[in-house]
Amino acid sequence: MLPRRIILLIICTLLLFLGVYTWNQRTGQWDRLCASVGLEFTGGIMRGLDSLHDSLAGVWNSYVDLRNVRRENDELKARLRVLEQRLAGTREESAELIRLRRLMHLEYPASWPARASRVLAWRMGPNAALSTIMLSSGYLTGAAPGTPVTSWEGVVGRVLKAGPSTSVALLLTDPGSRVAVITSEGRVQGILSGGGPGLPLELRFVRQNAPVRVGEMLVTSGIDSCYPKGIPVARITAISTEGTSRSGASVLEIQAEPLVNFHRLEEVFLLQRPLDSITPESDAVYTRRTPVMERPEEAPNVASPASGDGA
Amino acid sequence: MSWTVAAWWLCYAVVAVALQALMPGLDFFLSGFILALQERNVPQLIVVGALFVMLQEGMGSMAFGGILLWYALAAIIFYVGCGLLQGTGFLFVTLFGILLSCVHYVIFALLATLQDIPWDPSSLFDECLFQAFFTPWIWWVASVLRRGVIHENRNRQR
Repeated sequence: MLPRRIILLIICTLLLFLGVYTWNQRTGQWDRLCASVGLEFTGGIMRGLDSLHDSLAGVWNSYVDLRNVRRENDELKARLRVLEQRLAGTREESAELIRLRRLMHLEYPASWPARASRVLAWRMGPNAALSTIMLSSGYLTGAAPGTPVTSWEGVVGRVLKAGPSTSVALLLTDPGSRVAVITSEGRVQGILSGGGPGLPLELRFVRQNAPVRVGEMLVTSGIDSCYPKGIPVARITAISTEGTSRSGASVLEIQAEPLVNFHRLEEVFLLQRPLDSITPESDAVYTRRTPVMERPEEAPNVASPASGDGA
Repeated sequence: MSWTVAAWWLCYAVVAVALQALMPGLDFFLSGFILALQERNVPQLIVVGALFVMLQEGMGSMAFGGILLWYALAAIIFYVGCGLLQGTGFLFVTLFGILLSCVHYVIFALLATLQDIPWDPSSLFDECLFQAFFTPWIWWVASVLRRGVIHENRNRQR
């Protein structure tokens, strides 16, 4: 093959690629097709392998490896007693809270029903640039893009893309993840962003004199309309007063660690948005650029930064 | 494409998906694509290539295009390389694997920058290194198994 023809072939391939890439960026047709065909096929294979692993592990755990069952049973019974005592204590407080809300005519947001889903795999293939997990639910089974994903420990992330019965969720730790949070004690609002795999999360846009302390819990504030209010997300691990925002205003540099242990994640919950709830301005799950905020006081307006530049 | 050949590619895809779940960031379909290129059966190459691109793009998290460009450049480099070396030997596939890993590094970096996705050069380099190492060995195992299946198929047809 002549060198001129080779160069021409490479240029034609690159031009064709650029055409397909730009058309897909505008319409998203290829992404949807790949999510429906490729992701679904992969999900089917992973589901088969998962059930094979489960049956083999089930035989081993249920019939062979029974060494610590008695001790584990005693420990669980003791823990159950403690939890029952704690539940009895909180039951009265919960009833009082409902009575007080009714007295004050305080409208409380409707609860988000949860659907369980299995974790099939973590990031797969050479095209997996983001920290993601593959789930055994798709848009037909309650995992539309943007759906919040939680576990019994706290927030896991949000569904990034979905096929009919398989989906991929962006983890809280990915640098493109953003969650509107509030501190559990000082009620200080901010935006929690991922730092990357193995790195701490970062709480942004918190003013210098805000009442925050190390060890304090961060829960979802609900004002981004992406997550329901009050789900535990992370715990503050370090606070530094040397931070400045892009506009030069002094802000606190706060690091946090997620409550969820992502390495042990096997099952998750997909929270379904109630019909009467406010839908977010944008369904963007991945935030491409660092949102620019002029003042730390503007932090509650979290829906606007992600609205224009999501993937 | 006969049923035996189609079943072989399906089994290959299942094994490749399982291996990719075990080793994140690596492409185990590439060795199969090289095998399809070496057989020079154009309809089979198109079907296998389309299937592999769909699967990789579907399970990935970047916008569509990276794998398509990678596989298209792989096909061009393969046909150019066949003019210089014998395209069926282990040494050729090893050199081809190294070159394709370099191409993958450039494509990934380019597309991640285009899509504003932060990427770690050192971990990408490690993945490309592993890719260059694994590609010829996976190809070797797959070609030995495939030779057996095709020979058996031809013997049955006779």
